[in-house]
This record gives sequence, C-alpha cells and structure tokens, in this order.
Amino acid sequence: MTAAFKKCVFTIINISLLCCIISCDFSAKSTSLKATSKEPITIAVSNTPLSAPFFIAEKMGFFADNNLNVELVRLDGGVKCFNALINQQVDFATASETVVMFNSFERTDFSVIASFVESDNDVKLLSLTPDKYRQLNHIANARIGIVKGSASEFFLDSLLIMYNKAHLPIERIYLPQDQLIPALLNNKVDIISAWEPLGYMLSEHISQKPEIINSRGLYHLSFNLIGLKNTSVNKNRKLALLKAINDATVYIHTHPKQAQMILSQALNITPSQLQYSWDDYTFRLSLSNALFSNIQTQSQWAIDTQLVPKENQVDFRQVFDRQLLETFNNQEAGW
Amino acid sequence: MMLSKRLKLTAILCSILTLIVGLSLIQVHNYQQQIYRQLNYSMQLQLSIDSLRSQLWLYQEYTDKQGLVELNNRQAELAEKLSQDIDWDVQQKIIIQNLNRLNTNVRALINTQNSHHDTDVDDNVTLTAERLFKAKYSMVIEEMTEEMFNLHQLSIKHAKSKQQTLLWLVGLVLLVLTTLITVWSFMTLVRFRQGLYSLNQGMQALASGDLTSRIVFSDDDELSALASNFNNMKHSLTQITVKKDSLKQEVDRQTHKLIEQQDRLIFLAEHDELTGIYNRRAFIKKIDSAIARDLRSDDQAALLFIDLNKFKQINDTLGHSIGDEVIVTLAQRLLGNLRATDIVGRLGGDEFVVWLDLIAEPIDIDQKLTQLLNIIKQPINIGPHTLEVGASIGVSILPKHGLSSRELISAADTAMYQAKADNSIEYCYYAGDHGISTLASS
Repeated sequence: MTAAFKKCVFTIINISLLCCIISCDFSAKSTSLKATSKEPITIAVSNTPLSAPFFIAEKMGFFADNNLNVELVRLDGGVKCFNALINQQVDFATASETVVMFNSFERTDFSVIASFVESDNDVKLLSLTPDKYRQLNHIANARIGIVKGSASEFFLDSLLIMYNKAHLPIERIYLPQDQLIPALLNNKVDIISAWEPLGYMLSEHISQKPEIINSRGLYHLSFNLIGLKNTSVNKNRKLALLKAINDATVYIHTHPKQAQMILSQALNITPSQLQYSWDDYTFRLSLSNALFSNIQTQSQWAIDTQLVPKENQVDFRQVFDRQLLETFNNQEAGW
Repeated sequence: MMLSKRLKLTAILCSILTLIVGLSLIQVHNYQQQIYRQLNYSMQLQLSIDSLRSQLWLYQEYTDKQGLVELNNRQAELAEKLSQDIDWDVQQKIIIQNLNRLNTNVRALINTQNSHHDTDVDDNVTLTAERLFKAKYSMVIEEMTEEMFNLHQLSIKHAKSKQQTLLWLVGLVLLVLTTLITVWSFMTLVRFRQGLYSLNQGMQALASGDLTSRIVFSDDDELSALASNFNNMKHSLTQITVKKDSLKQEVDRQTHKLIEQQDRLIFLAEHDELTGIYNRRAFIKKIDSAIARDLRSDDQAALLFIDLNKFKQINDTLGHSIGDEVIVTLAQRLLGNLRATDIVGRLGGDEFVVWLDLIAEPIDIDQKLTQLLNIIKQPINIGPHTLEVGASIGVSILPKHGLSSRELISAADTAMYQAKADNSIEYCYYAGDHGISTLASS
C-alpha cells in the first residue's frame, strides 16, 4: 500500500511537470503562430561573404522562426542592390556605406536601418611585387588601378592623406572592378586598390601576400540594410527582420564553422577563400555615429574630389532611421 | 514499511534537501561572484576606454612626445585589461575580440599619424590629415563604446538568464523535495496515528474484559509487530483463563464426587449393607440421641428386639440369597410401618431392633407390636416360593428398664429370649431378673 502510494505521488509530480512543459511549449508555439504572415519580403543581397547573416538566416530558418517569408534576390555588388531598391523591385537592399553616401546626394527617400557587418581590412593596395612598395614613398610614379568614385578610390586617397603622401605623383588608372586583376597581370598597372575577394584571387597568383602595406584599421567598410521610407513593410515586420538578422549573427558567433560551411555552399566559394578574410569581419547590428562619421568623411572626400556637385549639401541624419534599431535593442534588453 | 525505515528515509530526504539548499547557495554565490566580476571588469574596461578617448582628444590638441607616451600607456593599459581571462561566454568573447581589434586599429592610426611628423608638408594637407584622423579616432572610440554597451547588455542578459535558470531549477527541486518530504511525513504520521489508535483500542477492549477481539493490521512495521504480539498475548491469556475455568469445574466435580463418596461412606458406615437400614453402631448412636432428648423431656420410649423364627430353615433349605431377600423384604416392611420419629436397625443375622419414640401409653406399644408381628408374618413371594416367617420380640421401656442404650438393648434382648423360650408368646416385656412383666399370646 505504501509503495503504491509512493508511486502515485511520483506519478502526480511527473504528470504536473509534463503539463508545465507542454503548456509552456504550447504557449510558445501559440505566440509564434500569432504573428504569422506569409506576404513575402524581398531583399536584394550582394553575393559576398559580407551578406552572411542573410544567407545563414535563410538556411537556418531564422526568417521563418520570426514569421517572415523572406525572398533573397542575389545581385553582384551593393550598387545593383541599391538600384533594385530604388526601382522598387525589392523591399530592402544591402549596400556599403559608400553607396549610401553617393546616393544620399541624389535622394533621401531611403533610410539606413542598420549596419550588420564591418570589416577593417576589406580594401587593400595590392601588387604582384608587394616588396617593392613596402615604403609608401616608393609608390611615386606608380600606375595605380582604381574603380572610380568607389571605396577603392576613397581608400587610396585617405591612405595617401594619412601617410602624408598626397603630394606624391601617381598615375591613376580608372578601371571597372572586373578589369583590375587582368590589368595588373598584364602589367598595365603596378598597383591596384581593390576590395575582397580580389586580394584572395591575387594571392592565388603569387607566393606571398599581395598587400603592399598593412592597412588594417585605416578604412572601415560596412554593409548596411537599407529600405525605402515609403514601404509596405510595417514596423513589426521590420523589427522581426532585425531579430532574424540578429539570430543569424548570434549563430555565426556561436557556430563559426557551421556558418562558414553554409556560406561556402551558398556563395559557391572555397572554404579557403572564405577563411582568407573571415577574421576581418565583425558581424553585429549597429547604427552608431561611427557609421555616420564614416559616411560624412567619405562625403567630404567626394566633394573635395568633385565626384559630387559641391553645392549639394547633404544632411545624412535624413537617411538614418535610428529609431527602429533602438526599439529593437530595447526589446532585446527587455526594457 | 518499518517505522524506523520510514524515519530513516525522512532523515535521508531532509539531508538531501539540506545538501541541495547548501549547494544551491554555493552555486548562487559563485554565479553572483562571476556576475560581479564581469560587471566590475566591464566597468574597468569602460574607464580605460574613456581614459583612452580623453587621451586621444588631448593628443589631437597637443601632438607631442608626452601626449604620445601617455596615449601609449593608456592603450597598453586597455590591451592589458582586454587580455584578462574572465569567464566570458562565446558572444562576450567575440565582443572582447572586437574591442581588441578596435584597440589595434587605434594603434595603427597612431602609428600612421606618427610616421610623417617630421615631414615637411603644407598646412592645408596637414589639416586635412588631422581632420581625417580625428574622424577615424572618433569612429573607433564610438564603436568601442557601442561594443561596451553590447557587452553590458549581454552580461546583464546572461546574468538574468543564469539567475532565472538557477532560481527555477532550485525552486523546482526544492518544491519537489519538500512536497515529497511533506507527503512522506504525513504518511508516516497517519501510520503512527492509525497504529497507536488500533493498539489503544485493543488495550481498552482487554481492560474491559474482552478476550475474543483482535487488533486488525495490514502493515509490517513495528506497530504491526506490537499489535501482533498483543494479539498473541491476548490469545495466551484467553487460553490461560479457559484452563483456569475448566480446572475450577474439575475441582468442583471432584469435590462433589468426594462429598458423594463421603456421604456414601457415612451411609455405609451407618447402614446395614444388605437392607439399607441402620446397623448396630448407627442404631445405638441414633437411640443415644433420642434417649438424651426423651430424658430431657421426660418422655417414654420402647426398644423392640426382634428375632425371626423359621428363618434358619429357609436359609438352610433355599440358600443364603433367598434368605437375604427375606431379610430385605422384612426390613422394608418394618421401615414402611414406622413413624418418622421411630428408628429401625439390623443387628446382624435375623435380628432387628426398633426404637419407638415418644410413647404416651403402654397400650400403644402393644398395638404397634401386633401391627409389626402381622406384617412380619405376611407371606413373602420370592420367585416360585411363598415364604412365611415369624418373630419373637423382646421389649424394654425407657426409662423404666434402663437409661442407656446398652441397658435397654440388653433388657430387650433378655426379654426376646424369654419370648422365644416360651412358644406361647410372641413378645415379652422386660421384667428384670425376676421374670417377665407382660406376655402376649401367639
């Protein structure tokens, strides 16, 4: 009788625990079902490892977890992504701060929602004979291949200014992005100012690292989520999108190897190429004055180099939507 | 389950509970220490970053050696702080890595800025460069601040989640254990109460004399063992009581038997074995009492000494058994024709004695003698035989012929011999040594 009673007590405890777990699970499920929305959100993303959070979120189902039906439109480069957004082909786009800066001179109907990745070593000065230019003085009279009006040119100019070599005579050869490496290989230029993965591609041709100087930390490249101010996507869904990106970022932090594997498959690139610049990336959601300052510095450069009309004064505060990320951060902090 | 085992289990459960509470407190303490350590460390990092920020501002204002040395110190300090190994989790470690990277970026910027101090350049270019550096420093510090915010937020989030988890876990374990202990203790209490109640009831029943009822128990604990022993004790007691009763009955039976035997012995001692009337000794004893009584009240009494005639002939011809039957029949006839106060006895052989108490007149004796002779002489039917006997009777009178049984019997005996000697008379009164006072004709 005592044993039977004991058994009975244990059974009651077990059943109540089970009920608790089931009810918790059920309530969690019911919460997730509450905001289900199947209207698709299209995001134009650049085919680069910098878009990692989006590929990871898609592969790991973080969009679905946040009740979003997201469709990724993969394009080559941030400029094309931005154009797709402007042409209302997509709801959101990802682009670098340089693209944001140049476009801000033409329009303010878009806003930067958040920056999701940063690299302090993405753009480099590359050469087939890097040893020759270890002293920056030696680039005098060198032919430097650059993509006009891009981060490539901005990087070169800031580097020359920071090293106080702006006075050195150099020959700027403007080329499209895909012509940089062929030009270097064909000895049409001595140096190129280029972003990844050109550095990795060049490293495949020579036995040593193709960077002429260590420029880590001198230029910060960021990739940002951009949307139109007048959009059909409501605030809650935007917050859910930020949550999905954040979930993907956490996944990248906690499962770096799996994340690289997913990315390697998504972009069809070798793990070694991914690994080449992986450590330069800082994945996190932010929208601070650092980005603001970066864009402003670049805009000053654009004005100085007459890449944009001097008379156009831009108030970059118009293209920063800080409120959304702040709301998201507050939600995450439980405030 | 045994009560000692129950109590032991309760004690073990309580010990486990105490242990868990202790361990939980230690764990809570450890968690809190870790959280305090992290928060303290974050604070120190924040201070170092602020210090670096202010030093960078100063360095922008005074780009000299002293400023550079200070800046280098601040930077090294931050780098040293960042290299400390605190119990960070993966995400916090990534933030620390980023802070390290940003600190390295600051280093790279300072080195770049220093690389051309001695170069002669025009002021305009220097100004542009300074502006650029200022913006870059500002960006890096801004990012550091942002990362510090993230670190704080993450630390608080982790602390919260850890504390919540611990609270839930400890709460759940404590709840389960305390519930278990409470239920278990109640079960033990109920068992105690039931057991003691049953025992008490059993004892009360015994006290009120109930030996048949038994304590019902279903467990196998000490109280049940006690109840079982109590039941056994009651059983033994019942058996002992039964034995005592039967013993008493036996004693009573035996006593009764003894009394009966005693009565029988007394009867046998006082009565003639063949006829059942008084024997010589008993007869003498009886008439002694009667004599004493009669003398006290001055009453008269007569003693008849009867000797049968023709009896010897019957005995010799028909045998002793027939003779015995004749004797028995005559004894019954004598007994049946006497008053309650009269006494009859057999002295042996064919001799009978009769005591006629409280005689008012001598005539009464004669009538009685006649009556007795008539019944003696009546034919006796034994089997095929019809027998007849006669008798010679000697009579002595109290107090005339004697004052004691011996004198009276002797006198009556003498008178009887006189009657027997004279064939013409059937009875004779004692007349002293000188002859017979009264004669009765046959």
